[in-house]
Amino acid sequence: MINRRHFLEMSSGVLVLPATGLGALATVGEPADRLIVYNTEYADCRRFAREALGSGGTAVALSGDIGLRERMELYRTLLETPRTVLGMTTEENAFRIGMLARDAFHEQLVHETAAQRPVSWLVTPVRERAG
Amino acid sequence: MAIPPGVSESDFNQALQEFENIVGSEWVFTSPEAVALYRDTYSPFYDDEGERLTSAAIAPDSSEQVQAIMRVCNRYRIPIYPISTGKNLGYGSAAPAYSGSMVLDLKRMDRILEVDTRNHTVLVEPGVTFFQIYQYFRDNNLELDLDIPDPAWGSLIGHALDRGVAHTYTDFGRDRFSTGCGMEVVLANGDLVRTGTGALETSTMWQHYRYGVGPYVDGIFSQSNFGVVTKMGFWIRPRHRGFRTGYVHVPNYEDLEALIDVECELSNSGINNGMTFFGSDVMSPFAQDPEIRAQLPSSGPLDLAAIDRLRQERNTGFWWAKLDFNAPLKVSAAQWEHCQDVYSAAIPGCWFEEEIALEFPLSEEEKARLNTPGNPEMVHLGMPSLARFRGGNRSPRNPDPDWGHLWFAPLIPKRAEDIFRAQRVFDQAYRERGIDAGVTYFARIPMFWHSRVGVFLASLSVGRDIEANRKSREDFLYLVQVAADNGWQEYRTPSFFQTEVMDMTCGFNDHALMRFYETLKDAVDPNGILSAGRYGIWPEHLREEKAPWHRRG
Repeated sequence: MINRRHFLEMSSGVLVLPATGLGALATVGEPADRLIVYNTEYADCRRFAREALGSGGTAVALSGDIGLRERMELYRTLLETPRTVLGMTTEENAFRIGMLARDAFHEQLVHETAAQRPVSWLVTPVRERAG
Repeated sequence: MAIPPGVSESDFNQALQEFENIVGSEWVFTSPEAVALYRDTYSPFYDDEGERLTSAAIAPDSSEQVQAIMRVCNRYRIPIYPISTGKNLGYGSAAPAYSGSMVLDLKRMDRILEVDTRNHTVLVEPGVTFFQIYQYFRDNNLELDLDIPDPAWGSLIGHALDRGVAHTYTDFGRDRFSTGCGMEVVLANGDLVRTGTGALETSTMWQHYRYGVGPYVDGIFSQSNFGVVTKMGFWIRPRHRGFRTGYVHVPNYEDLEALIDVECELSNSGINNGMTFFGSDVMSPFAQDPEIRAQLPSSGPLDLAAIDRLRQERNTGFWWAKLDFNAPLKVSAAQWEHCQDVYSAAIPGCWFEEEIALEFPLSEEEKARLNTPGNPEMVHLGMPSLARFRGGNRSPRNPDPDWGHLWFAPLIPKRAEDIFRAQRVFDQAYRERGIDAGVTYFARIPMFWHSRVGVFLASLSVGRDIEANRKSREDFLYLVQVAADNGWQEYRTPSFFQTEVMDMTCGFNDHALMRFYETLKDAVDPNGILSAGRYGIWPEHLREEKAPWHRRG
């Protein structure tokens, strides 16, 4: 299993997050604890989520923009129990979730994209779990 | 691990141990990836000399922990920079004004401590966000609302202390700081102060009467570095009952003067009680009509005769004012009718257009229409939203969006002649500096978040190109000086330019105001640990190096 540090080191120069598939993200984090966030309106996102959920985790389905309640719940979840979040969403939602992740002491890596399409991203905690 | 300036490694390690004893080891951040969370991703200094970076961060959970942290900082002379949520993108985000400072991250202090549902007040900690309090009101079926800025992910206290603005009621939070009522402040020496009637240990009205007895000091804790505000009260309002908007259109270019003057009469008398927007029917910066776009170059004066011909062909007005009314519809119908009467008497040829009339609670269909063309934005109804970020989205028309921006935010008096003058001055400044204005300044109107001045807001592009960022920095400082030369001051400014802006805009009587701030600073923070450099207020030991008015002798 790739640990977080290894992943970050790889991503600094070698690893590119997948644009349309799970790829190397599949091995990041504890599968059972992971959250999988995706925009339901895009086939790429649904496929990404299906693939990720195949090895465990909890789905967070977004339809359109991340809403108030979804944002608050995701923030609370990450703040109280640091964990890995994998996502494929609109670029706009990726940005919003990246800011949310910062609020909850997590960092985000986003697949670089040049086109208007969903982007994949990874959120990981920067602190050890309490207790 | 980075070490704060002026601190030895052994002292810093000892301090970190003491910090961990106070807040727990998981809430002291020193690893590069954790410290990177406090980097200003949109800094115009990014990866360049002068970038303000954080050495470490600490996230306490209570006022008592903040007090203990202040004592450790004093013991080891560690510079520390409080943030609430650090979300003021375009103004510096979470990065400290003095590079190398530790960040005191208060977002874990996110308790809504008191809510008065009968007299409409709240008492909150710094980490309470607009999202959070809005949700709290709904989850607890409280008939309360407050004015919401966008984006809504920021903190009430952070927004107030940076003197941020929002979008709805004149008297209920558009100027956030003006709704504050009572503070709890940890001073740099670790002492705990409560302002206003909070000074009375048995106070029953801390959030109801802001002055208490004696000097009123709350203002010195905004845009400053004299203490860490750990609790703050706010006046909020009962649940919204209705929202109405109406347009006033006027036919001629020179009608802007009367359009604004009448709006001042109406809003300053409380009849028009929402935020008014002004714009033009024929020269909107967002105009899609190719004929109109052709008349709106990125710089230079407008061909008013050509624009007026287009206006006549399209049978539109030249200017409009969009009046917002926040009241039950029965009340706002009378307000709107009165506004039409006053305008009709003042401006020959004006006409009116009712746009929206909504009663709360909104139906699901009405909610679904918000943030869509021709319908209100959620934030204008006091509903939190992040939709504003769509404006910079990648799209077929915008395939390579800006990475970020910094805000140039000069205040302009709410008078047509000042607006016309500002258009000329900034257009010329943009041309002199070769700045791409997108659409000429002559087609722009300030935003009137404040009741008697407008913010002629403009963004300067920030990206990852160091040379382009340098140009944006130079442009920004040039524009601030141009504004100052014309009597216009920034209403807030990015942390990395606060010293320069204070130097350029607070020079009266040999910077007497800055010298007064420094006197206060020396009294309440003699070791200079707290937010060094915030709004140009430097501790004594850094003044010669950092404050230009001292270097000039």
